[in-house]
Amino acid sequence: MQRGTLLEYKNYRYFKIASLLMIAAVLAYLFDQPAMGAYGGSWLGYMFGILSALIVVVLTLYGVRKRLPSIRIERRNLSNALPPQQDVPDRRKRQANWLRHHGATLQGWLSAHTYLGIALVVLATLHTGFQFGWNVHTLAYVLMMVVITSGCYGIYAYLRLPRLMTANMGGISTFDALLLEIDDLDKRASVKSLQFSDDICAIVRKARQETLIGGNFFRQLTAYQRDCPTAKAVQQLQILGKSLKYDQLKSFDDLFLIMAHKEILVRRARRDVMYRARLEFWLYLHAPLSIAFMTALIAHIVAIFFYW
Amino acid sequence: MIRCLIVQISRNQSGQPVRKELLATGETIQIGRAAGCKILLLDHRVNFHHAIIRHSDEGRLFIEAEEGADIAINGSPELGAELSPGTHILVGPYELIAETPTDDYDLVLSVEMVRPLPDDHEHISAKQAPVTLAGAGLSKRKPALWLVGAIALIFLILPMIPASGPTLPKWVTSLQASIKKSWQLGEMSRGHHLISAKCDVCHLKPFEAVPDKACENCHKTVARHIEDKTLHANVFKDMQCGECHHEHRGEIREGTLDAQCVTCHAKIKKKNDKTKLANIRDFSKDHPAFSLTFKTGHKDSDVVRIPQSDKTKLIEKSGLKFSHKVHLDKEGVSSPEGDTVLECRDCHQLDAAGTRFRPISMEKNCQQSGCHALNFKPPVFKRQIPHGSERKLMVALREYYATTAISKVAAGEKLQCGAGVGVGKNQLERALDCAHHNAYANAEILFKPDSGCGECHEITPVANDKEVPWKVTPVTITSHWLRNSHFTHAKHSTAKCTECHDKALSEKSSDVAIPAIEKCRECHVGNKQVKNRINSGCDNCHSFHKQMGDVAQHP
Repeated sequence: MQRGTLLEYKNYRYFKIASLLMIAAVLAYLFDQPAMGAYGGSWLGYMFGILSALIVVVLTLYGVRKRLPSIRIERRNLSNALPPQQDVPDRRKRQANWLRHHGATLQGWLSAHTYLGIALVVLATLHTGFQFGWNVHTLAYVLMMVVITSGCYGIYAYLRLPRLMTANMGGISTFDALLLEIDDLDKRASVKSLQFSDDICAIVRKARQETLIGGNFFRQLTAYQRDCPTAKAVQQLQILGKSLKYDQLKSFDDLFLIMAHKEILVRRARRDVMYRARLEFWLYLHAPLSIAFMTALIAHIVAIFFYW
Repeated sequence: MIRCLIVQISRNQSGQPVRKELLATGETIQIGRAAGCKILLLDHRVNFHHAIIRHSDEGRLFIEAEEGADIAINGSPELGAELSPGTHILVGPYELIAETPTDDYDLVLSVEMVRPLPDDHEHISAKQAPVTLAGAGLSKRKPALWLVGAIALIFLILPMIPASGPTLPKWVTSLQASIKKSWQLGEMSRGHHLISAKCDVCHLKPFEAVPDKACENCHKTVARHIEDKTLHANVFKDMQCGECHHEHRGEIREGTLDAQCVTCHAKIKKKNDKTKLANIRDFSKDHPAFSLTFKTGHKDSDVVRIPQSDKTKLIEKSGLKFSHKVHLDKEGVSSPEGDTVLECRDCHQLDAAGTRFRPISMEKNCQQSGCHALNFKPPVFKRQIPHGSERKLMVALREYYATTAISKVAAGEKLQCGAGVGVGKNQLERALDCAHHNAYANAEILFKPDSGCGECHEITPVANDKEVPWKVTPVTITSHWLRNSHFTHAKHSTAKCTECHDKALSEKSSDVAIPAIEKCRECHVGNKQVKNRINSGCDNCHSFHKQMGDVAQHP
């Protein structure tokens, strides 16, 4: 995801639209002096409400639009009885073709989604007239704010993290390749360790068997394993190496370098998992809460007109 | 010496075992990954010296685990066991099986790697902890469904179920009432708190604005804003109560604000070019001078309104002659009890509501402590001239002089009349004429313009009435000067009367001492906050819905 294509899409088209909306809304709010004070039920309040609801519809359509091509392609894949994982490049190609034939690009939609989402903060807040309470109306507002805040984090993550991920991988093409390399180092370390004492062998074995990459939600997000066996092995090998005989030192150096190299790769793998988790976790708030927000919004609108 | 045949089993591509035999001899057979071991197992999961096979004293063969190493015999961890045929021993990832020995060997032991290390991609992935959030159990769909279900149930479906269903248990309806509150935009306005959970008291039909009928079900005596029915209808057309009364906006007084009034009254002249009302936005800025209501008769409608700006016309015609200066003299005013210093409240007493004052009356106020007693002159001290009616006064005078004359005739005394009264009539007729004459002569004195009744009242002669040829102008004291507003004197009791009403030096009853708007503005400001001033909205003084019986508007 490139900054240029998302935020600067079509010479800041949606930034301009959103800015105009926000400025016009703030000016209208400042100039309007409703008899009963600012609130959602004044003439301007209703206007803000209708406009905000329309924006919400557009924002939701992005979610639909985003899933639409993949749904179609997945259906096609199913009908061809091909597992979707096996033809990733082909799938992307088809997706791109689909997009070319179906109007605006997904990036265009995302650009609009981003800027209109931010404009919604201003419009919906003015719609409330800064009047909040323990009710379904404020619930809808709070859910909306959480959804938008998580979305803002998402944009930040999309713009920043992919570069860090590329830098972190240091030339290794995929995460699986990294895992294979770690495994290869594990095997080499195991073979090397056979000639040494049980202590050293156990350290190496433990590092091979108990080093975890990934794990639960927090481990993925923090890239941290408490008492990481690999890191510990490197530390302990440094100490144990001092008591070895001279003729074992050459082999021991090889073992130590393998383990040190493994530690670097394990850290990279964990960081990769962390970046991917950080790139993804906000969606686990954004998507369900946006659906919850839509429900609360419907309840808000029904409540207003049911007891008009 | 142990002769042991080691059968190394590996698997070919089709999974079939391939056997490779080796001979190992020695007093003991060591198993491990150390170079000197007879059974060399090169795997890091095997200890340097893992186990040892030796003869027992009886000549049987045993396997024993070395210190710190683990072996499993027939699936259970053991320290050692006899190597009888069929015994399965697990050493690290290797399985050793004691086979039936032949004559050439003491022991035949097959060795097979049963738990090889994974070396392909699938095995590595399976070994790993989850590396995606979905793998760690996070889901988007599940919480979305739960949240949608919960919100829809609590905030959409439950509040819509009619509250007054006969089949619903009590706890359901009470729960429903609490849930329904979540639909309210804000706190109920003052006065409607009691029905805050009874939505359908006002909202008669779903998806329909609250009709006026709903308000009128309870508020039966709310009057129109404009007295003139046609004008009221023209101004408000089909406007509904709810357009001004916002009941879910918290502590707004009766759900309205000043700005509601100002929406019309700021440009009232534009809305109605015939109106005499001034355009007004705020008490501090453009509220016009007060218009005083002067009473001109005894009916409620006998009034005239004169703005305070029109100072030359501000004359009260009460028909009374009264000097506040004399009565409020600091030295005191003479009374039967001696010189008495009077205060305002001696005559002006607050009514029960604390808003205005009780009406002034001759008996209660002027004749208190014996002042202004209407006694006959000596020697008839005990009789009083009746007050309030010229005719009654004349009757009383005639009755008195007639009684006096008749009693003189009866006593044979000489009647004291003017010359020529009752000449040629009998004695009784003369006595009556004399009484008439004396009564009229005294009435003439009483009804003089500047003495007797004329001391306090305005007297005019009546030419065509021979019985009572004088008329006392009826007293019409204005008691409610600002009829289109409400002012509570009790709330202003911290101030002295003379701070607002400059009456101490007033010599004439025609002087008007109602303070002008500037006086109010010394303490009161409009809606804009000013330090040490009181914010006053329209409804501090005015009522939108005039109460029944209020005086008519004077546009």
